[in-house]
Amino acid sequence: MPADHRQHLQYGFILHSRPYRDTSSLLEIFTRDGGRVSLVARGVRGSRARNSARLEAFVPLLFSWAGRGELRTMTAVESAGGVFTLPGSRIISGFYMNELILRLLHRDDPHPELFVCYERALQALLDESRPQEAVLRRYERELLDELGYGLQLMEDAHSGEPLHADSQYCYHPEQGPIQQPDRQQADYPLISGRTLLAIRDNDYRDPQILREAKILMRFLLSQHLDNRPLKSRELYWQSRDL
Amino acid sequence: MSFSPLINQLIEALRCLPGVGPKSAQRMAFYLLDREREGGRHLANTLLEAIEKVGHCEQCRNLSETPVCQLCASDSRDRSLLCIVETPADVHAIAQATEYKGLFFVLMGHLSPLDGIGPLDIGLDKLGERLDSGEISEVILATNATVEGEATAHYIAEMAARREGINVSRIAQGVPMGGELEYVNSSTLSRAFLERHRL
Repeated sequence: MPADHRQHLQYGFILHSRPYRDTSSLLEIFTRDGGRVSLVARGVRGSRARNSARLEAFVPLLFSWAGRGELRTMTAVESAGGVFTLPGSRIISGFYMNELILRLLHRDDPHPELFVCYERALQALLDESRPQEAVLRRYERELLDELGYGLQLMEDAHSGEPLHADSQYCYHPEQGPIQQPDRQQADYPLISGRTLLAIRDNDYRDPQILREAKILMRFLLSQHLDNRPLKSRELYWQSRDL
Repeated sequence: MSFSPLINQLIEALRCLPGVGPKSAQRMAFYLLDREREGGRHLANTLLEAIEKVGHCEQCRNLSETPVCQLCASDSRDRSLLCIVETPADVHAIAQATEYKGLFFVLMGHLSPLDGIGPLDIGLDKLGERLDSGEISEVILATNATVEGEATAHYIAEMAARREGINVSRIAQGVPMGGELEYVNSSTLSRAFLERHRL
């Protein structure tokens, strides 16, 4: 019989919540010490619900739960203090970050370091003066690192030479960057050395670098998403011309 | 204990109503059969008729049995104001509580990409056409104060901003009337503070 996973006041965020029956919700949460957990939260919706905390994504919460198996029962929840009210223009990026975790992390697999990155990225999204693409690129790199698919940004995977800013590389998903002297036959994205070094240093001030970094991250993430596209990306941009 | 098949079927059918579990469904079934046969017949006929005839208004997407609902067809409303809400219940709530004299647009939901609900699912193509008509001078965003509601409001605000001559406003958020500060959640209080107004 699996152990009873009783947990008390675990710090975390809601990634996604779905209505369940009349007054309950099914929550997917990301906690600092427990990783991704699925909870059923009873009696939290409707006019008679009495929650002191806002049960929503991007709100720091303390969750208590009990139960065996995949779906636990939330026994209590309270606000962890602090407010992460994402501006309207940033919410979709938050959804995207949440979807990546839902798609790439297994349940009950703690990733405390990724949690720190997640929290820092949310914090950065709050500030509308910071370009959100740069925040997302950094978060994607950290996520890949944490999952064990980290980028190789030090040297040419074939020659072992350090990366040169003015060389052109073909990024092999398993091996890493391979110098590509002539611009022919590239099975994988062609990325400049300058961009690879900038990704390493989290320096996204140059729009050209941001563009290339996006192509590379999109390619690398797709390797782990089993060809099922991310909904937050697709649906939101599907009809920008409405 | 099991009842005759038709009674069981009725109990099962009643359970599609929100908040009705097996016990209440059983009570309702017996009440209708035992004491309120006429009322039951009336309920059944009305229900059938409503389900056959009620569709969505061509203009505001609200539930309506005519192609254009009464509110949209009325000539006493201010046609330059458009209030955007998530559900028909919201239209009713605003109509009851406020002096609002403009028109409505009902999304029948909100953007929720992780659930696969995108702009087209909540009729934003139709809303775009409406905004293009040149009739509207102000869009009032009255979606819920949830993250999905905010994301939806932002998306529509951007749509309106791409068209000239349309002002966009968002309903105010803050401490509820009769609310004591101590019991208001911290996000609401911080929003109320940020958006305080001069007296």
